Amino acid sequence: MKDNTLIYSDIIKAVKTTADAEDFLSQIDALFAKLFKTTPGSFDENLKKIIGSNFAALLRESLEKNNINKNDQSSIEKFLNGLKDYIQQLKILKLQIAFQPSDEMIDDIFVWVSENIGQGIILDISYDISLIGGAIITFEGKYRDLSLKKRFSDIFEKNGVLLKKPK
Amino acid sequence: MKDFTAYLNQIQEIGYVEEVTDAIIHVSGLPEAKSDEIVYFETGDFGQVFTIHPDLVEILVFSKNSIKPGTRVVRTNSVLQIPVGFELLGRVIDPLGNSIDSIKPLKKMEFSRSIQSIPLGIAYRKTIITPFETGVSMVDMVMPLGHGQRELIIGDRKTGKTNFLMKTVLSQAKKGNVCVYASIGKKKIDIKQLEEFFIKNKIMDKAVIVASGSEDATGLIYLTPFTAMTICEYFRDQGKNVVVILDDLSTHAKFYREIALLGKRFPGRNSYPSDMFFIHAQLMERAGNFITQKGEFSITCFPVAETMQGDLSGYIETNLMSMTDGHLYFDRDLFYQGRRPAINPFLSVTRVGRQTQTNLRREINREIISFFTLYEKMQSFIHFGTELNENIKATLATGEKLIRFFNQKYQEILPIDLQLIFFVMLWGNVFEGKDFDAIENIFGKIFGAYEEDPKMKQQIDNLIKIDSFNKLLASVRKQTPDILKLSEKYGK
Repeated sequence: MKDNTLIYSDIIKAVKTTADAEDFLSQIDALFAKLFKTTPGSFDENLKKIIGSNFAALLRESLEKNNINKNDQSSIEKFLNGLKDYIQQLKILKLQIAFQPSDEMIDDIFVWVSENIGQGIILDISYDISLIGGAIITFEGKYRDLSLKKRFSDIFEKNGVLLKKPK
Repeated sequence: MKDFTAYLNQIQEIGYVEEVTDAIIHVSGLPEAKSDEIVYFETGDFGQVFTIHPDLVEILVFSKNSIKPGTRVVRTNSVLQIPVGFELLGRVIDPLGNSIDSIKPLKKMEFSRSIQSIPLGIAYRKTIITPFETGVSMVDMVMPLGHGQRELIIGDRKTGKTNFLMKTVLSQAKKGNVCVYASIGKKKIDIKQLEEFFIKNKIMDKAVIVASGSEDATGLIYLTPFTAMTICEYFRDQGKNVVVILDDLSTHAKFYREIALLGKRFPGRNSYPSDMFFIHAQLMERAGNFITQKGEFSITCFPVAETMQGDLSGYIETNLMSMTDGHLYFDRDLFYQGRRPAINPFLSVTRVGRQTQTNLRREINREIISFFTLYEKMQSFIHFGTELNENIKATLATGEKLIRFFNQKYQEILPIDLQLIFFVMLWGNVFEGKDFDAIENIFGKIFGAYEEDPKMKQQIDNLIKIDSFNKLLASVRKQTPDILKLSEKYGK
């Protein structure tokens, strides 16, 4: 049996954040709804109509690479179920930062995480201006508050008494 | 307790609520959670780690506040501890140590103890040799108990179990011992009545009530007997003999079953979890007679179990019978006949009580048991309507007198020395010709004199020092006129 990572590697590269994952999952569900209602040969039409072009292209490519007949609905169903399970099992790295990142920044972070922590991890980025700077990182139950907000509150707590003392 | 953010920064681990099923909350994350560890929700609630799975942790919560999926959870790296101290005496608290009575809030206490503790080993235990006085003659004379004994109180509902326990607490509190009453999943009115009973009899300063109501969270009800036992251990270590009542463990078992089934633990007999025996046994093992730094002190435990229609063969009932040093069975048939307490001496057992008795008491005890056995056999003759000879009539008359003697009114307690003297007076037919109501009246006067006249108390206490039943019988016959004279002006 092929390792799932190899089967889905091309598609998974496009899933970088939890928003992407939710998007892909809802498109897979939409495809499932139409899968057994199609006449032979109309799978490509459904790919065009129901799901986004980006995902459609990746899916088409992956099916060809894995030698899955587009007219064989059972094989497609099995493939899509496997893909759905795989996406749901991706580990999530939560990042709370003090600004809205650009798409390029998200890509850079994702690449860094893939290279330095491992494959099969997606990002859940949320925005909290009160952090001032830095980030709060949560991954596999571990929590690290590396925000400027915490640094400042630690400093004030430590030196708070000194600040109040008269000179 | 620190707040959520402080723990988060300290422990640097986080979890998220995935699923909420009443008392059990499923949390993902918290990779280093330990069994029984306390966890804190960002809503301010807290719970205890119940089960650890590879991908999630089950938390037993102690409040009924709704916790939504997605709520963050943090570990505290500590187990549940409750504050302990002499400030607890006279208070009604919940299983987390918070005051729930109408008096002002509890002061912050210096010490706290974990509610789960390993019972002291054999090297710290001593043989039970000190008699335990309940103030109820049926128990003190027929089914004697000792300090440090675990005696199960078992019977159907409304057979006088709680009444008996209240008399026991009254008797022990008057001797200066600490009493801890664990009211497990009871109605609020029952808890209030208990508190009022202690206040009315002026023993509240010697008692602690640990109460959880039937409407409280399941997790909180589950904790109740453990909290009570922890408080007992504290007072034992401070040099006090303690009496603890766990009312009742059948209810406790039902709530634990609910928790275990919610936690998807495999159900065993009657759907109870497989560790049901262990849960109660670990509680019972924390009672006993111990050698502490301050000397020899005991925790005497009275777990209560409720039967259905007199069925003693139930799962929880038989479990408790096997892990205790005896049981007092409250028979509903005897209750309907008007016997109070409705203890059936033939179905009750005391495994370590007799070794605490003096020779005199042991002799009297044997006499009573063998007489009751004979009396029960004689009862069957009456039903045939045969003509009874004088011996049988005398035995039946004595039996009726003894049964009336062992009947005690609500909240009435008798010191054990007086119980013996009264019994000997009845047995020796000292008041021949008088009806039982008149004898009861005389006993009431002697009791009044015993309580108030030091001379009378001295006389009675000296009589009890005689080590033979026959000698005591002779002395009582001789001294009865003096006793009656001294008690003339008293009455109940």
